Amino acid sequence: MGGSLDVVKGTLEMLVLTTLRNGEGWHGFAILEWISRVTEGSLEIEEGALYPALHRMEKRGWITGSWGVSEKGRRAKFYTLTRSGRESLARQEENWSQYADAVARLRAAARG
Amino acid sequence: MEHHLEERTERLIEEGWTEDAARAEAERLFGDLHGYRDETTEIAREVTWRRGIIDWLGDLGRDLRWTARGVRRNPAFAGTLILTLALGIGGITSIFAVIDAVMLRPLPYEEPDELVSISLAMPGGISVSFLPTDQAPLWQEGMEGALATAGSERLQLVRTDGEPEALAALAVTHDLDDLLGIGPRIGRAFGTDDAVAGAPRVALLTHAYWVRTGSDPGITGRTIRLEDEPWTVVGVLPRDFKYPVAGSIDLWIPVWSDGTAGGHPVSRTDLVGRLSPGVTLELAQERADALAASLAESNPASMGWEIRLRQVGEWRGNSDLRQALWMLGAAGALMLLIALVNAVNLMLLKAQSKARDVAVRRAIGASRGRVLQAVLTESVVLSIVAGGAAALVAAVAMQGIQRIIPDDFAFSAVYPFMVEGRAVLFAFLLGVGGGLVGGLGPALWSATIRTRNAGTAARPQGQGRGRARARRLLVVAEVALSVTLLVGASLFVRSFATLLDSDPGFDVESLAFLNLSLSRRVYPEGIDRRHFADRLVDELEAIPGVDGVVIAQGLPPGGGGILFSDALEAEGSSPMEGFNIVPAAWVPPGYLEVLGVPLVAGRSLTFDDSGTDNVVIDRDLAEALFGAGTAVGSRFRFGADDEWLTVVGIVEELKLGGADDQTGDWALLRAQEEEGLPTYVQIAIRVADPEAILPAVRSAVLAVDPQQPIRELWTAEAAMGESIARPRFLLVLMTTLAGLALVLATIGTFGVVAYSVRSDRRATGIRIALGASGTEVRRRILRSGLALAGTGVVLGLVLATGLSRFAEGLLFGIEPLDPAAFTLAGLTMLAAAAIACWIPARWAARVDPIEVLNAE
Repeated sequence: MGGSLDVVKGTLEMLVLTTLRNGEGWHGFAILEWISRVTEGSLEIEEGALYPALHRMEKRGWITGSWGVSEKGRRAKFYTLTRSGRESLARQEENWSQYADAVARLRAAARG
Repeated sequence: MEHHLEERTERLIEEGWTEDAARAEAERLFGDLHGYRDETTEIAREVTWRRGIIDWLGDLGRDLRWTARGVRRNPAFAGTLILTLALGIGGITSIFAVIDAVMLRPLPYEEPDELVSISLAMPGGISVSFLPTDQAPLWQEGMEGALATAGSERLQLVRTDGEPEALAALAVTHDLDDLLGIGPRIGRAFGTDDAVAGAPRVALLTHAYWVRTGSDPGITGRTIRLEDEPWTVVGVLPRDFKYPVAGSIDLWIPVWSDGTAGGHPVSRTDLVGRLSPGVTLELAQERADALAASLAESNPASMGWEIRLRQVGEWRGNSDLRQALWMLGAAGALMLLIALVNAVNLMLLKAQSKARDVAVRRAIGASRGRVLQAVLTESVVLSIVAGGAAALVAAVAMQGIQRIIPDDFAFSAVYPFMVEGRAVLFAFLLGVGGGLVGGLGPALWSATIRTRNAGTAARPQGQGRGRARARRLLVVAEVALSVTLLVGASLFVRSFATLLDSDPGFDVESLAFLNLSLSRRVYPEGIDRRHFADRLVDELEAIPGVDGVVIAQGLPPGGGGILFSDALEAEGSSPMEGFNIVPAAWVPPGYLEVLGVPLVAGRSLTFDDSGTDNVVIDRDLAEALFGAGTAVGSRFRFGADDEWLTVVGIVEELKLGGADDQTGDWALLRAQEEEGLPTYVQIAIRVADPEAILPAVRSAVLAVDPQQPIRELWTAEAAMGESIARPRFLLVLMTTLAGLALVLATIGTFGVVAYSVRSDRRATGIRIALGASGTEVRRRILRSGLALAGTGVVLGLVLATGLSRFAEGLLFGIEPLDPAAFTLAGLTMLAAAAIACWIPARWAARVDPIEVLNAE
């Protein structure tokens, strides 16, 4: 598969939540780094889009953020998954797997 | 985001980009930097705002719990604070409810600003609000296009189905309800057909009368009998509607085109008008001036009359009434101020006792703002509760007020006197406001507590000095305000005592008065009424114990009428300056004997004096007219166009106008006609025990005419009491307020002295250990306490000197700077303060030095 996939809007949040499940205190750049490393660059995220998403999720109470100093001594906001974020992630994953499942069946049927 | 860009740029540089290019590439990768920044800022702002509210609510919850804990731990404090504020707020709220009903609340009529009252100012300063009925159509025509007018007049009609009962009817032009913009609650309003002479007689019941007669929902169409004629009830007026006429009204009846109400003559009409669309008051007044001029031309008798138009709102409450109400309002405000001062004092005490608690909170990270909020929450919560309690206090007070409120207050009110809606809101707002104002000082003080004081703040030393001074100042203020109120109350006590002491000039203890309104239907002519009265007098004289009976046109209080003049003139002197009112009575022979009015000179009147210019006057009037010498045989007149009156006798000072008559407590008696009587008949009965014979008098009336209702039957003392209703009302309210103020100031003084005794225990202990006697200790504390109170008393008396002139005109027989009242007020406060200091002083004298020093 050449090139990379655009991240479907809405799935970005799921990706971020998934990343945050790995532990407490992630800053935005680290989240992107991690996603890119794990997916080996196959997902193309417009980097700036991450930040409104983080704020939205903070507003919904899925994640909490607090200011701190990064390993390189820079001021950054560190995010942690909340309980309701965890629940939301579970729901989204469920939806996602149903969707993926449905797509897989459709393709199987089309192949005949 | 900035962090992100920096990290990315750094990465790119590591990959070999130049710094500038790396930064540019980082931004490119990031995407729409500005858009994302705005988006996040927007979300962040919402989050902050919401979090602010949530935090605040959380804090509030904690503060409320803190407050509740405090109340549980120390219910006496909360109780005292709430009671203090409830009394202060409740007092002024009940006064507010009266002021509101009399003059503040918007009139319950449609577009009240368009309504104008119409009064007639006659030469000599007399102004009346009514017209002869036959003139009303002239006026209505004259003002057409500028002012729609409607009128009313009070009549008395006897309900003749069942027990005879005198009803107060308001004869109204058929369009009055329309003009005011009020429809009936049940049934229909009057129409033009109802106003045609000879139309079927119809009536609208007032809500109060409808309720009194059983609230029959099917009343419409029922027939009631008035003066033995059938009247059809067409509807019931709304509950809250009260047309401001004297006394309560039972029903409305329409005035016919022939100037009668169902055949009953309507002699005068009170007019009220509504400005036509686009017409200003000034324009309408110009029309009125033109009308007055044209009326004067056609009728010389009305020369010099002025028609005055005023917005209806303006006449609410005459100037006397307004003065009385504002004075009570001011007294209520003083009382509230005292309650607030007491509350602040209590809060300060509380803040002091909580100082350690606050210091600990500060030490564990509470900000200054948080402490301020916590303390303010406590005071606001308590004062809101106090506001609620105050509404209850006011409602209870209103029960009492309703019982003693003078008629002229009720007359001016278009609303019933009740604590509801607006008054409750008023109490609530005062509660919140009082809590904020009263709590702010203590709260600010608490907020200044610093962490390092955690161990010591609870002690009054050092930092406590300033607060102790503040609390002393508060006590001085409180005492001063109370003394001011006490002076007010003392003035009214003295005024009332003078009033009760004043000799009305007749035997008030041994008289009963009977007033009857005779029906023109049953007794059409004056002579018929005379025959009825003569038979009644025979019956009355037969009652055991009765020493004499007299039919008069003019008994105190009020007399038979008033004569007035701006040029009262004794023969041989120039006319007197100024406007004078002389209460007058038309009396038969025997009047002076039955009433017990002592004759000083000359003779009393006989029937031979009927129709002559012979008069008997009282001593005051004689002195005013003729000086100290004997006036018998002298003549005087009311004006250049009036007849000369000859004085044939002089009686002792007689208060014909009523006990509180201040306009000139003069009296003039003329001989009654021997024959006919007017419809309003007054009878005086002389008897040793007037109270005891009232039932017998009632039976006597019924024996002569079972259909004849009694208008008033009371002892002369009760009748004169009616004329002291307003002074009594002012007296009761002022003394109640002042009494409460005294209690609060005493408690305040006690609190401060007791607190200082407690916190000075150590010093007192040492002093006693060094040999001071109990008396010395007591004296020391008494002295310092009384010094505070004394300062307050002096300040209060000075303040009262400035304020007492507002009571001028409401006082009877004493000056606003009455020295006795000032002395009484000052001594009362000092005595109360002495008691307040004496108790803690005794505690101090009992301090055990060993115990105190061991406790250190």
